[in-house]
Amino acid sequence: MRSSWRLLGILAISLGSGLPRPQPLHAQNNPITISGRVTNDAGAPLSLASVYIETLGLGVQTTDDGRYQLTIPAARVHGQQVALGVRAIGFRNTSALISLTGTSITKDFQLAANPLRLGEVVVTGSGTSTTVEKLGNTINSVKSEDVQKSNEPNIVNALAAKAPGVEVTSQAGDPGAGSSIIIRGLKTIEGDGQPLFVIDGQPIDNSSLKTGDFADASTAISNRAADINPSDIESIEILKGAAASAIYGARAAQGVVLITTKSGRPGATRYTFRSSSGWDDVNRSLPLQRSFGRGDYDSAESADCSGPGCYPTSSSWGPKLAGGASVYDHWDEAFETGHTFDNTLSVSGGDDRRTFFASLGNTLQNGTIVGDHDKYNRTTGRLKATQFFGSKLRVGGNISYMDVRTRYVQKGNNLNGLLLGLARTPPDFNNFPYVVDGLHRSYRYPNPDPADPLADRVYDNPFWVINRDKNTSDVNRAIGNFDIAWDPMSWLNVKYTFGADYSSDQRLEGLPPQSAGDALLGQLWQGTYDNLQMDHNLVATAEKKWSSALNTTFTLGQNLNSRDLRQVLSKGTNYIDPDIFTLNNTVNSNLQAQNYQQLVRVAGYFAQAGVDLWDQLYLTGAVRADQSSTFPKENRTNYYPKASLAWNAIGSNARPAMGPLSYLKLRGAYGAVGREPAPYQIYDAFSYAAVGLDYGGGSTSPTQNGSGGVVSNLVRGTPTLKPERTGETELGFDFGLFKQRVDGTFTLYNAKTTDVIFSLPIPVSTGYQNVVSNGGEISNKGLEVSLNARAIENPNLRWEIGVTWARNKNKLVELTGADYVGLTGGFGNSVAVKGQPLGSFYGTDWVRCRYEIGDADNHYTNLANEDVDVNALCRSANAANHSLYVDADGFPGLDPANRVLGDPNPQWLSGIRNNFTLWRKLQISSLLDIKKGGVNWNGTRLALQRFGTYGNTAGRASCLEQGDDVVCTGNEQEFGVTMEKSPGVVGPGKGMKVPVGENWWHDGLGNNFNGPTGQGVENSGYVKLREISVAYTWESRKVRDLIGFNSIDFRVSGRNLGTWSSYQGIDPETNLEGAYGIGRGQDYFNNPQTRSFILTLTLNH
Amino acid sequence: MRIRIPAAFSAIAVASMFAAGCSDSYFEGPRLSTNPNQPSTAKPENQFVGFQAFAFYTLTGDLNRLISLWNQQMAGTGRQWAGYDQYAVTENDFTFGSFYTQGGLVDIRGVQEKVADDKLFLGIAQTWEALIMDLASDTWGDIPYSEAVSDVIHPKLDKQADVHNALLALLDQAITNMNAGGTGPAALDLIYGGDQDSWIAAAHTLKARIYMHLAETDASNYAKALAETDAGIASPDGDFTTYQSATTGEANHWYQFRIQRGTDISAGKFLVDLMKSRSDPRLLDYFEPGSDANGQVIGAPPGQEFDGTQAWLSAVRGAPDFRQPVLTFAENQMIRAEAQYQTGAPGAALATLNAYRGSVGLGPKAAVGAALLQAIMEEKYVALFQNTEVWNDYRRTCYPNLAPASGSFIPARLVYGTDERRANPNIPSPSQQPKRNQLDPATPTAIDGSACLGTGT
Repeated sequence: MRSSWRLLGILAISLGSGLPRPQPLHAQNNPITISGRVTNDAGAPLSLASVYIETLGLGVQTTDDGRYQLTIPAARVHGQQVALGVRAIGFRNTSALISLTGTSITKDFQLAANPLRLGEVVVTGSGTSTTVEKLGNTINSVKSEDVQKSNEPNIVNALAAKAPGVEVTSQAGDPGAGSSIIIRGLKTIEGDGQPLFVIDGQPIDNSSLKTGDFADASTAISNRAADINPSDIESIEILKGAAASAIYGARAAQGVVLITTKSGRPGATRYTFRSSSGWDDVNRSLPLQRSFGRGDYDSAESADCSGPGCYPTSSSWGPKLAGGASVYDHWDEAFETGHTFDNTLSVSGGDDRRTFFASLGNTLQNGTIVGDHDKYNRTTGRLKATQFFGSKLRVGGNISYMDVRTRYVQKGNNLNGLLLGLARTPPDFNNFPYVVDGLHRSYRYPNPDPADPLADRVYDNPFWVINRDKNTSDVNRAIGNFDIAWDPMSWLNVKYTFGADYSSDQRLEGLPPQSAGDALLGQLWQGTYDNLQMDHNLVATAEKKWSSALNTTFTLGQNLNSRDLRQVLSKGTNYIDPDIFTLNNTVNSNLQAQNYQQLVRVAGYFAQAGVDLWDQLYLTGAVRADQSSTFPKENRTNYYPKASLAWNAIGSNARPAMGPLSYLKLRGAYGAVGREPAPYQIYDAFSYAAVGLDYGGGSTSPTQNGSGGVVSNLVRGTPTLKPERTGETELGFDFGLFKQRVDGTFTLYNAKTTDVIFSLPIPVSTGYQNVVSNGGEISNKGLEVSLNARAIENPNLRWEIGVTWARNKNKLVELTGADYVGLTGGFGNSVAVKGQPLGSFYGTDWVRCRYEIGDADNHYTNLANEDVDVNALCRSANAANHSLYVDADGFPGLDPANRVLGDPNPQWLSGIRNNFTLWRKLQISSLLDIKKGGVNWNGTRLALQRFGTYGNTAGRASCLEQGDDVVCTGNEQEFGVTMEKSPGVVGPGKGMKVPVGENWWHDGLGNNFNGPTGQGVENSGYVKLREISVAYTWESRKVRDLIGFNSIDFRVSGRNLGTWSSYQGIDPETNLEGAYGIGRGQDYFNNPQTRSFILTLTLNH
Repeated sequence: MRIRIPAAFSAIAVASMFAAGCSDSYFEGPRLSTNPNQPSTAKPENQFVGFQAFAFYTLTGDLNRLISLWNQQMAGTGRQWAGYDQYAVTENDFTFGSFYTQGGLVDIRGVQEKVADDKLFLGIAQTWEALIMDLASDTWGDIPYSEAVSDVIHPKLDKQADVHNALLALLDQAITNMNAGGTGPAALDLIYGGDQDSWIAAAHTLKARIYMHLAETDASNYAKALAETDAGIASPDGDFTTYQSATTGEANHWYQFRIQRGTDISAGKFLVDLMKSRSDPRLLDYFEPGSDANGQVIGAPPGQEFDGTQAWLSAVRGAPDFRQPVLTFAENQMIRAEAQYQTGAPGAALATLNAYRGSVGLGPKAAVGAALLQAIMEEKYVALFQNTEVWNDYRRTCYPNLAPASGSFIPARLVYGTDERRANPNIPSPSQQPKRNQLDPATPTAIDGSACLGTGT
């Protein structure tokens, strides 16, 4: 291990060796070593604190035990008095005067907490920064240790419950699965709703691209920001409102996530080795019944299937299983404990002229599906270095390379998905063996016929899915930038950054022959996605202090950005050899190739002015002009202004405190941001593409019989397209009480997004389905509160508690020309409906009282063939809104019109963080994530009700076939009361009790195949114990002498250990299509979530 | 030195980027101001091929499957199709976009515009339009037609009879145009390879079909239909069949359905039993026995789930390259026989029927009166296997007198799709739409005088 450290050291040093080093002058005095320890006011060591002597340009960083050692070369020592300063994030800057005499000086520091981070520099984007007290808008910061504590391989997941108003939803527990992050509500219909990600000034790709035909099927989809190694991150700033992100103009409508990676600091070279090992388990499984076997109408007759080639019934509506019968736990068979190993080695250091940081990390995850077929292997390397030339110029470079290999297991709305076949399997069917004499055996086709090897399997056997399919994504990615900081005058600072983010993703999605559906002969998707983003940013800032009461800054900048995406995706079917997953191995006549490319260029110019008055009133105004190639020429330039005001009413020099109120800042801001449309939407076009048709229509290619064909696009272009525009006002205050023992923030915001771009549905009889349109308005209004208290501050016991709470009210106020439009990733039922929150579920439902719509639109033809004016009936019965109409047979009726079914957006989100420090060495911390309200569509339950395998069907009526009739007895339910509970009941069947069994769930409307979508809508609120950890730091001279490390840190932690929810399925945190689109709350045979138990060891040298 | 390099660099950088960022060339050029993925114009040849490919779907895809279920030629034995079999159809199913958009009316009109000088090509394109829009009007009744694919933002609904009459007029124009001749689409015509005579015959058979749709409300149309059959498709060689091949994207839609959705649809019990009772030699041309069926062809009654016994299409009908019949000699002859019967020439009707029966290996019939009409309709029901026209015949004549799979009413039209209704204020909400189309009589009795089972209210 040591030799590899040396290697890294050499690597790091060799970077510096080519550069000029300052030559030591003749020694006249002795060198002086200053050493000591930096602790917080409770005595706990502070690592990564900077200890510096500004006048000498010297500085070091403390180690994890809080110690520092700074050597002053003899040449610079002449008995003078200097100020030795200390800076640490979250603490107040402190300095002491020391006289440089003798050979060694010991100086310890105890830093007072600065929870409001007053005086700290905060990055505000595009090369600008300011200090916290001057901010007129909200920026939330997440520190390195909070990212690491989460133990999440995906940095997006690490942000869950860390800041108010930031909603993180992980797609699934698959290794490499993506995550979506929505800041202060959705502000787009057409986009993906994800913020812009920027690393060290360089915007990066965070797209989620699917491989095959459908995002609701195939595999989990990663979001590309997950390629970043979380261990490399020093801090993350979340720019939430339009005022904060206006500097990013047309790309910032959903906010900006600014990531700063770690840098080297002057001082001794530091080595850190962090190793963690995690055990991952499925946290919530599907409830499946295990009391009734395969069959129909209480009879196993339809399950009889002895001869080869037969297809027994798909249903588990057979007889009650006898005591001794073999019953299989299909869920347990398919899942095991997964493992995650995460190792990062980093080396950093430097001197007064240069710094470096180098890291090498590997995350190896073997997921919870049995075997080694769900895997994630990410190897990352980073080198970041800076060099000073003189005192005015600093040049830096930052290069990271990522190699990410993922292997997935298919999921979702998919005959070849894991859970679709698994959860439909009758409890008395053994899924093993899944191959008999080389033939795929599934529960729908249990005795494969050797004479007909390519007979339909209907659904794949789950173990065939796991073991025989091959779904991979191999990403190679490099992100690098070059930056210059130049201070040509004392008042002028120029920063330049040029960077690139290039990734190549090789995708494969292969189903061998004998797979279900249209993969009977074998099916293979092979794709290559190349993504290149280049960014150039030049910014100059002039600052002048006119008097003690007036300070001004002025910034001018330019940004050029280019994004180039090229995709080639090919599909082959009909394998020649059954086991080779390559296109050459498919019959060529079936090869389909498609490619897609896009190039977008943006040029932005921005100016920002700041005025500081009396060190307590801070005004900022700015404007960005953005031009984008995606707009028509006449709309190409768009302006995004912002203005903010911050008044440090209490806590400034003028007014230090007022009773217990030790700090108060009042702030207000307004800003505008935009979202550029996807490219090429201003043109009409013809399509070459084959289209897949509904419900098994197969695909039709416009080219036939060797003659080239084209057809009109479904969507018309709009040559006058404009960007979406969000204007947002926010008002708030930050306060500290009892000398900052308690602090908090309060923010109100109101964002209005206009000119929302969407595909306006037009009557298909016009020849087109949609026209691209700027006609929507979205409102997001919210309230964000955070409160932190250092409740106990004894040297041997410290307790900090922090609470965040946020509410966002989203509403699609206007959708000009349409009532609703579908959303990408919406599975057809999560849509944008006028007057409702974005993403609302929309579809068929039971017949109900609906006072919100006109009586004429709520008619129903009942079983007696009467035309019922449902609303009129409801009013006469004084029934509550949404009361259920129960027909004469005791069952509810199907309302064929589409209705609003529920809102997947949470009512509020809250995070509760606790931190205990005992005897300065033992830290216990926890994070609770609370989501109140919101709904999911539990399509998994609806589908399984038909098959009779869902847990709720264990209580069932006995249904017997008597001649042509089905007669059921038992399990008597009253609709609207004990089944499909609703606010009230109307109709001729009110009060009737009817048997509910196969008659309803299979033959009737109690499933999603025949019945309405609305019955699957369920509350998806939850309380999650996101993180809990116990850490012990072992550091002493003994440790150093014994094993050569300054400190050793042990940590035992848990992630998602508890999830409390009334949701009936798997974890309510699930989203079938991940961050691929903005549709949400979809639960349809998605792979489950996990919980983890993790041990971490960190060695510091 | 230390200062000069960055100073020079900055100067160059500033100058170059301002030059780059300010000029239009930064935003314009290949892949920026043009779409690199799709063409913005289409030649009529390419558009015609694309149109035909998508029309095959419209004619023989989802809607065709639904009609064959509701007429019990086939049966829904799994998932969504088991629901459709029970008439559980909402406005989200079987939307009508494919008739108008992407490969629909918009593209055939595009072809017509571009080939206006080639009369043969124009006439063929007009015949196509009539074929497609007739099916739309049969399915939904009143449809947008006179204002469709025009500058009108919200096309109005035209009455079903008006649409039919407009299509008859369009076919007259088409026939005139085709007779005028021209280069035509030649090999790009996937139906007849550009053959003028075949197209003219098909246009006449189509006219006969449309007259029959009008005949129930106005009996004078029988004579008009009869006249058209004289010039209609004269032999099975002249059948209008779709083009299909084993290539992905060109395969027969019934084959593709089987591959994708497996056993969700199987043979229908009613048709299977009927053919058995007739000892119809075509039974094994149509179907292949199920794997558990011991060589028997077994059909599924409505509501039955697939159990391994029910038959699927025969190897011929289910093959990827099987060309689905759309307008056939058989239909021409059965229209002829029915029209002869209805215009007071039962002898001629019987002769037409028996000549056709002979050609498919069945012995002659000797029926008279209602029984003759029933025999003609039965022959047509069997011959027009998987053809949407059987639904029109059912609604006109209540033949076959099917017991509904659910309730007492076999759907007589579809509700307008959400794709149109949501954006077009001229479309009434589902509950306000009629249950039957304008041209469909209530048919309280079947041909044999018994009550029509599927028209319960």
